[in-house]
Amino acid sequence: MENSLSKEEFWKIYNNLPADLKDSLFSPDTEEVILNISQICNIDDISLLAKLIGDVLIGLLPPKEFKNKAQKKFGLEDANAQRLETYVQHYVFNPVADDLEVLYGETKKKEKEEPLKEEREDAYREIIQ
Amino acid sequence: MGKIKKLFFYFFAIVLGFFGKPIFAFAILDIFTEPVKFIIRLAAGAGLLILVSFLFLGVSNAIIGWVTMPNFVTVSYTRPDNLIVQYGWTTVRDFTNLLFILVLVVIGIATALRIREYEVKRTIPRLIAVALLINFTPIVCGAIIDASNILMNFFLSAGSGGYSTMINVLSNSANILISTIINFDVRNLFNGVLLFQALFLVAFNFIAGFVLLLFAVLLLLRHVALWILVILSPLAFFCWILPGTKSIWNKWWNQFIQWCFVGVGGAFFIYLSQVVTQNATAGNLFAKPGEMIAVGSPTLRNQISEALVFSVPLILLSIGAFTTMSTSAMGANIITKKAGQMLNWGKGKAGGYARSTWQGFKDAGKPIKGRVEGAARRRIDTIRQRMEGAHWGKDQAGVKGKAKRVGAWTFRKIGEIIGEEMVPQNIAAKAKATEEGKKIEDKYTFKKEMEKAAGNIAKEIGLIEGALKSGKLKDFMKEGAIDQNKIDRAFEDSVKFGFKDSTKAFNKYFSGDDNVLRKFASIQDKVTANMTEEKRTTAGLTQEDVQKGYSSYKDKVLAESLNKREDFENLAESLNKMPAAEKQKTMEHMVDMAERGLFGKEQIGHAGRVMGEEFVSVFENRLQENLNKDELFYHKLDQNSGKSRAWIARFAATNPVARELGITLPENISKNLNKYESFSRDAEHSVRQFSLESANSMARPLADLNLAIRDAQGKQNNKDAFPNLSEEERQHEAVREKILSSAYGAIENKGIRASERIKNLDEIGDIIDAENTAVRKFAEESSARESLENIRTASKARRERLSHP
Repeated sequence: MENSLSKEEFWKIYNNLPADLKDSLFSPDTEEVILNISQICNIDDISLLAKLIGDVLIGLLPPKEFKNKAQKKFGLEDANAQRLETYVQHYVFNPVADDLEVLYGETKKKEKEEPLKEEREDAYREIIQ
Repeated sequence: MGKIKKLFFYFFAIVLGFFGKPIFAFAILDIFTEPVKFIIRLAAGAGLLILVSFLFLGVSNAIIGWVTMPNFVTVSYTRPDNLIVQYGWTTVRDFTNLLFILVLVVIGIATALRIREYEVKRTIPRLIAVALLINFTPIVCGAIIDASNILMNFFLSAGSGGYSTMINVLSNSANILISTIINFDVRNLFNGVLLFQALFLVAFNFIAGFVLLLFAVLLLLRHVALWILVILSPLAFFCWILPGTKSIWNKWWNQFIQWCFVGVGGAFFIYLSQVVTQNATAGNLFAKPGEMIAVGSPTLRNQISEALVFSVPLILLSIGAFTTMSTSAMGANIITKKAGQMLNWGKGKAGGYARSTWQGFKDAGKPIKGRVEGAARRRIDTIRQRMEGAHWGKDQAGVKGKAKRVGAWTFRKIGEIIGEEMVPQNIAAKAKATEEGKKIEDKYTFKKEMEKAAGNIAKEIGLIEGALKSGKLKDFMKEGAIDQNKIDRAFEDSVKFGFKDSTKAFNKYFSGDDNVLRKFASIQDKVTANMTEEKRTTAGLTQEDVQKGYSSYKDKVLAESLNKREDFENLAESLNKMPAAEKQKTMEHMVDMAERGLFGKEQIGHAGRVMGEEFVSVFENRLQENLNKDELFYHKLDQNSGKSRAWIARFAATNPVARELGITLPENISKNLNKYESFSRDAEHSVRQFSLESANSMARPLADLNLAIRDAQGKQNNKDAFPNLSEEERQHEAVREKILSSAYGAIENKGIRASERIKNLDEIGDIIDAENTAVRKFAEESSARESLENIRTASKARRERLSHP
């Protein structure tokens, strides 16, 4: 089990987290998700899975990298890794997506971007004589 | 008083019917006593107020007498014996003499420039006059001061001096009032004469005292003001020469005159009010007691007419006060302004007092009603509890015992009926008061509302509950709006009258305070002491609570009041105000409760989230401590509650915070988490099934097993009769071992499902094979073993009874 943070470091990070992320870290729902997905994906080392999810929630592992890291750590097949990511994304990361975006400094892409103006030929043209 | 009240109670109880409406007994009793108490309190208050007002007037008179005494200030206003004036005046005069040369230059230039107002013709005569007068300003000032002093002293020293004449008149009037009270005539109470006289005296004393005090302060200040003005007089006279500086002279002159005569106006009105009173009365303001009779009588009308006439001195005094206060003497206006503020404050207080008195009159009936209701309900409820707790002749045989039991039953039934009558059914009123209580922001309103609700149990509890729920109660306690005794009393009432929500709210609010919880537990014991066995508590716990696994009142309170996040936030807020050791103790208690199965992962999650590092650290320390002692600690059932605590190990393994903090479980546990948890759950299930439902179904196969063992043992003991059974004996011994170990394993780890399979000896071998070593190891130490032993004993006894009917 890798543990890169000292207790002091962890609590320092934790105390600066948004309330929703703190909630998620202590939520029994998160624990249920970890247990369920570990059974679905045949992951034996539940503690390591909990650690990876914790890393995402405290800002140490970007959500986008979660899948690759989990796949490497647990030696999962692609299908299983995809299942794991979808499940965790849906139940754990999505409810706190806004906070995670702020945490990882990501800017939300503008959903409604201005549509590109199609270049059309003018229908009317003066006759140049 | 207590005995007399009891006598009255029993009297009215008999008259009105003891089991009907006993509350009336107290109601009638208090209806008689409360108004008398109220009148006595009112009279005592009025007497005290009169006394205070006389004291105030006397002190004010003494002060003004002291201030106006010729020897009060031994130094004169202007003469050389006053060194301050002497040196000050000489300095200013010398300085002013220097300025004359400057003025001559100014006049010269002005004449050359033909500035008419400053020309020689106009200014030189003034200059010469001032140059002469400037050396005699103390004489000029002294003459004016003496004139004002003569006038003022004439007024103030008339008669016995100061306000003594009026004080004599007022004292005589007070004596008449006292003799009127002593020769008590109820008509004087109702026709308002007593009230009128008391009010008149109080008003007179306070206004006169105030005016005298104001004069005294002003006169004291007058000395200093006049000294300063005399010192500055050379400069002021000098300023009279030139038109440009004349305004300074005017200002000085104005102030000087004001300060000289500041006391004359007031002294005149003091004198006038005394002269008028002295000559218009025979030494007192009121008619003597015998002259006052019923409302509307000619004598009373005379009394009122006289009182109106004698209000003239009061008005004159007030004019004196206003005249003095309207002075514009510099410095004096500070005094008068302060005096005005004091007057306004006094008016405000008097107005407030009047309003509260009026409110007191309006509410006079309410406390009586409330107290009657409250006190009576509490007393009757004690009787009800005793009746409900009647269990005489329980173990007594014969007719006597039967008679006692019938009597006890009758009492219990009556107690129940009274109980139904007694319990304040007005839950809606309590809920309304709770809502009101939630909205109260300040201690004054809370205190006022509590006073209004005095005796109305439902409302009192509701208001306190509201303050509990808004989180303001501790602030109100700190600010003195309510004390712990009152809260204890409200808690007692909420237990007594079955306001379960309120009881819970009290417990919840004080869940972090061990001292209060101990007190609440003892209140529970006291209230339920005479109740039935099911309801009776010991250390705050009923038998049902003990069965739930609570081992202390704090267990119960924390387990039942901490569910949502807000509950933990309130607890944390409460704990933060307590000493660190107490806080630590409560957090350890919570972890302990989790180990005993009284808290689940939700509660521990909330605690961790709300209390953060402090709680997580307590949790972690305990976890490591337990695992160091026994790595299977969390997979064994709690010995007291029989509950599984395997979830704690899982929580430690799967909670992201625990993982980040590197909280580790032994390798064996973390690898076999699901397996061990399954064992633990099965064991918990088995114990529950044993204790609640399946004792009988388990007893049968176990009884069969025991029979087989006994048979084998019997054969073993009869070797002589059955000499060829030694082989069988060994077989039976082996079977016995198999039976016992498999039964333990089956019951503890597979529960009823396994036990149902124990139908014959052949199947036992299969079961044993199915069990693995880990299960048995676990099973040996599990509390389920004790349950199995109990059931085995019970089934053996049952079998024996069947065998030997």
